[in-house]
Amino acid sequence: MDIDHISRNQVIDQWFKKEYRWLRAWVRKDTDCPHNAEDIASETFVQALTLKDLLAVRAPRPLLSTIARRLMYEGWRRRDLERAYMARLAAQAEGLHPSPEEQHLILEALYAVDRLLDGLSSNARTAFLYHQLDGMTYPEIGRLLGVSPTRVQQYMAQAIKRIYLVMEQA
Amino acid sequence: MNHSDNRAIDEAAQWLALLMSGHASQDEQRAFAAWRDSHPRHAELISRMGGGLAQLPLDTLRTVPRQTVLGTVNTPATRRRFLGQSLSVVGLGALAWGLGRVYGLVPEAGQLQTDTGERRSLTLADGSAMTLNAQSRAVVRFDSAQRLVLLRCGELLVDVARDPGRPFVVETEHGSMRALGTRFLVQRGDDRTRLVMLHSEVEITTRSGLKRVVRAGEAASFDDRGYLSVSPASGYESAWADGLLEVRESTLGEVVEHLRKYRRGIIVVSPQVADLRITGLYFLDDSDRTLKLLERSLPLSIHYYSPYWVSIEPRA
Repeated sequence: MDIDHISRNQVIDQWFKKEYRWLRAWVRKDTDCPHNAEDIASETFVQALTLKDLLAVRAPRPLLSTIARRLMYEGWRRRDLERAYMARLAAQAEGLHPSPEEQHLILEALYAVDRLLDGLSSNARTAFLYHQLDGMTYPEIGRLLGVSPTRVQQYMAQAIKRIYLVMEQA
Repeated sequence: MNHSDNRAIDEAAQWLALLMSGHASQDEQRAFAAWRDSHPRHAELISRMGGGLAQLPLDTLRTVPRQTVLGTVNTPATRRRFLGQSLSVVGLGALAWGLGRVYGLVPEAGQLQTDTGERRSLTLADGSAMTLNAQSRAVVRFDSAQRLVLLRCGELLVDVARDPGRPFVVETEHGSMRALGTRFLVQRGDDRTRLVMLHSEVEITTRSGLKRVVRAGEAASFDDRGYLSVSPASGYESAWADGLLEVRESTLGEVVEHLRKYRRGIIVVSPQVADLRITGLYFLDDSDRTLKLLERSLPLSIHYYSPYWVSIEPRA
């Protein structure tokens, strides 16, 4: 174990002693179950451990609450997506359903793409996916969405930028 | 990110969107090459953006009907909006109290709650014996027509006292379980509720309207979206009520999930060992001892960075 790894653990350990109770109470305001709050608070510390600039952080609370808020949001969003996907699956004939393993992979893929396209308009998401999944041309997509091919190109640029920024963040 | 880099990112995205149209003219392609070569950062951005697009899980999504992909990804984020609203009204007295109740801030009348490492056995007003597992919350509402227990989260085991005039009902957000006199266990998970029948029988009515009678020795899982399945119970499900954790061919990850309810702080399981299989009998109330037992029987080593930061890793 190198020096950096040890000092990171020391920092997190100190934060944990000082801030864990506060963070758990803070998360609990927005979750319906105390044990979810505990999981989210714990996971927040685990994620903080991997931050690049950890040793430079002076005030841990804003950082911890930001990570925790993202984790909460991701959890809810995952559930939103799963519900939406299952509802659509239920509308299909059972014989056509993917296996549970395939469903799991599909949900993970949907979740990954959703995260990358987060914050874009539904037109921009739709345009990007038609282009990437079906190889549709900009004029074809424009006709479907009722917008010009130039507008579709703008959607594509927005999506490309968004994906880059999300991936760089990680 | 500084201002000029932000601009370079915008430009790179514009260029890529143009090139991906497949209709960039010769002139445009030359202009692009000139832009790219005018600064090393430009070339780097183009290759990173292109590389990012190449990582999308498109092959998996192509197997899914297009309208399913679009419909799912365009589902509005319900909770984010609600969260925004709830933050703005907290502090408005009665309203805040109502929200607090929804989010578990203010105890409901008749609420029973257990913390990490805490298990509670109690006798209810009708003589039924109920045990709440750690990190659980239930609300008891008895009246002249029924004996209702709302399981908000976690797990409970109940030995129902006989009362033919008043059914005993355990309800979760996924559905309700109705009994006259019997012993059963209910586990409320995030997406599903699990019922294990130890004695006699119970009728489930799921929120989506499915009905099913579950008999002793059977376990049922159901949710509120039309899923309901019944299988034989393992027989180990209620061991926690005695402070024991019995597992048969479970993964280390699952075992640690149980331990987390009984141990304050963080247990980090390295992915390399999370799938190791274990069979055995462990002690919930003495998690240090359980960790030692795990270390002895599996190829792993346990590091205590502090009493509440434990990391489980492959043995070096």
